[in-house]
Amino acid sequence: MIDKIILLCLSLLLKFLDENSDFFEGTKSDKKSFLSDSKLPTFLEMYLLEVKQDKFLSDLKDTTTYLNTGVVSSNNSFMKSVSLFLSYSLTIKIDSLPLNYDLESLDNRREILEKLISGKTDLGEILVEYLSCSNLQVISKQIQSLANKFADKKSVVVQSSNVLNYDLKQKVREYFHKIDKFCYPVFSVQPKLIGGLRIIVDGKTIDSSYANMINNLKV
Amino acid sequence: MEGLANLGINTQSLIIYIVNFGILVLVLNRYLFKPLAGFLDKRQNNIKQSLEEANTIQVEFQKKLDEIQEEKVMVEKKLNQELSNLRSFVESKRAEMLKEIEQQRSEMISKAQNEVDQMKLDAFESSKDDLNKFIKVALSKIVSENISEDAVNKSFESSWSQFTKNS
Repeated sequence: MIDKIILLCLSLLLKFLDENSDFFEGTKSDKKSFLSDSKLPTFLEMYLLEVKQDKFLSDLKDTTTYLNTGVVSSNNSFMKSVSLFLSYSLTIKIDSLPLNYDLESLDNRREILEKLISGKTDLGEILVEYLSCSNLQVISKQIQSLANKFADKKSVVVQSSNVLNYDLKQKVREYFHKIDKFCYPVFSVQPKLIGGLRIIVDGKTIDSSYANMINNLKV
Repeated sequence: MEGLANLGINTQSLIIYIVNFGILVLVLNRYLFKPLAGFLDKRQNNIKQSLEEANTIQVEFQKKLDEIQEEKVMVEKKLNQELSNLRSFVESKRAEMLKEIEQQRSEMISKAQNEVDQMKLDAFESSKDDLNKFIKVALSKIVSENISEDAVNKSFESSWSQFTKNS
């Protein structure tokens, strides 16, 4: 399904470039004015603003290879932009979904997602489709798998006894986003922890859970 | 002669007696006394020789006896010396073995004491561990059953602040 999102983003870019064939020849301010009229998502606008024609073509070729083989170059700025959008911007929206989201009916899920993902755009529609038709855990794994192709910190797991609230999740994501843009923290519920958090970053554990505190008590 | 005849001795008979006696003496001397004297001399010589030989043998025997006696004394002395050496060796060995046995005994006692101490310590640690585990399980149960949701949420915030502070 992520491939569909990538394909859609590519087609949006190509459509835009088709409509604005001299986009790459203009200056940065020209590009900005071209983009101001477009209905492209912000992350694609940012990408186009930074990328040059040669690099765009190279990214295009590399993305086609990825769609065929699953292998992506770490220099692929387009894929990085998509990955960053999915692993940060979209994930923060996913975090705000209600706890019982997975238990809702398909129609209800669509309704919730349509409220969450504003604007009736092609990307919005396909994201609603993507998020409503899959389990959040599966989506999380797919996004993490893509982000890990570019991330330095491959694994960040935040364990807690209960589901963390949206604000704290956002704080955690922002914190790790500052360290590594592609870092994708995974939240996991471990009732045995009682309270506090256990954070595992690339195999290194920082355990400040109540269970660990009790376990370290010396009688 | 008349006197002899007055005494009733016939001179003729006397002469015949004397001649007979002379002949008898001669015969006896020739056939009896001389061989007998020779035999006696020979026997005396034999006895003398035997006595000399016996003396020689006795002297030699005495000499041998002295030698044997002397050798016996030497052997006895040597034996005594060896016995004395053996005794001192046995004594030193005995002392050494006693020392070793004493040392081994001390070591065994010390080892046994250490083992007993360790077993005591292990038993104490084991019961301490069991008690520790029990207290921790009980504490976990009490805390998890009684902690409020608000406290749990605060603990998340507090843990996160601690993490960001330490990182």
